[in-house]
Amino acid sequence: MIPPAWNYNPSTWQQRIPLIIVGFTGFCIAMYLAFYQMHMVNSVWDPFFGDGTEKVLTSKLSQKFPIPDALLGAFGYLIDVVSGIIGGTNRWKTKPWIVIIFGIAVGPLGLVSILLVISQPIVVGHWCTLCLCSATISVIMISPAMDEFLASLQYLQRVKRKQLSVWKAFWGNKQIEQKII
Amino acid sequence: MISPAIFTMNESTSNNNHIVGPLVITFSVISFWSINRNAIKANIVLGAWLLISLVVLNFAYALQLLSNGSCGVLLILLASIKRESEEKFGGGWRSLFQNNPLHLREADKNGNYQ
Repeated sequence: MIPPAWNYNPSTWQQRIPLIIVGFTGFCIAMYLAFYQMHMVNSVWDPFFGDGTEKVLTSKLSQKFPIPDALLGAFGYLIDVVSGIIGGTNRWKTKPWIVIIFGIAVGPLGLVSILLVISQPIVVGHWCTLCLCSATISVIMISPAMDEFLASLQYLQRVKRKQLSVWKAFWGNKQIEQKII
Repeated sequence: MISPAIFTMNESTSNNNHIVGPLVITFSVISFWSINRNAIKANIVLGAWLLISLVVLNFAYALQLLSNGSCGVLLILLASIKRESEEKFGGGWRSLFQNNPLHLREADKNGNYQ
């Protein structure tokens, strides 16, 4: 189902599968870095910056969190992947809640990644190849996820304008779905 | 982003470029997709800042000034190019703040109450 005044459906699998694959790649990278931070591997691969990755992963900044920061990143990617999988090809309308979670998970995660990239040379004084790869993945995911997010917000806007329950529509309501295009 | 590694820069100019570089890349990548093509306008602000920083920050060498200055001018010029899109997004992000947005008009035209 194509949203009104759109010329494609943002919830099709062709739109979502690339994001799920990219998100899963980010999850694998983040888990690998988390394994190093949790001392489950002795060294970490870095083709460009020598021991830069190890210095970034053992920096004071990375130890500010109660759990390894790479594990937090992996958790963020896991939310991206799971929230990308849930729902059918009309989920912008049938499950706005999961689309909103997906959008919120992808957007802020990308922005946090950029802050971490900026902090590498400024706070830590070293670069980390895999962290840069992870940040690139996060940024690449932002825009493709936003179209579905916008379609759901517009649907909820139409529900509100027709003075129906936005709360019910947010969680998916068959009666409202039938009334509102 | 890589200029501090190429030119010997002091801390303030180096930090400036390490902050502006990733932001420029971020807004450029986000604006690749039509839905967020206006995000490129943030690069006009960043380009303007690069030009302002030539005066505000202490650049030691002419080559550094030339590098940052030319990047600033290029950013402003390239980010100012207007881009049209064939894709339709129901009025885009601004529709969320409009009284009678395009997607609502289209839905009403098609009989919003089915």
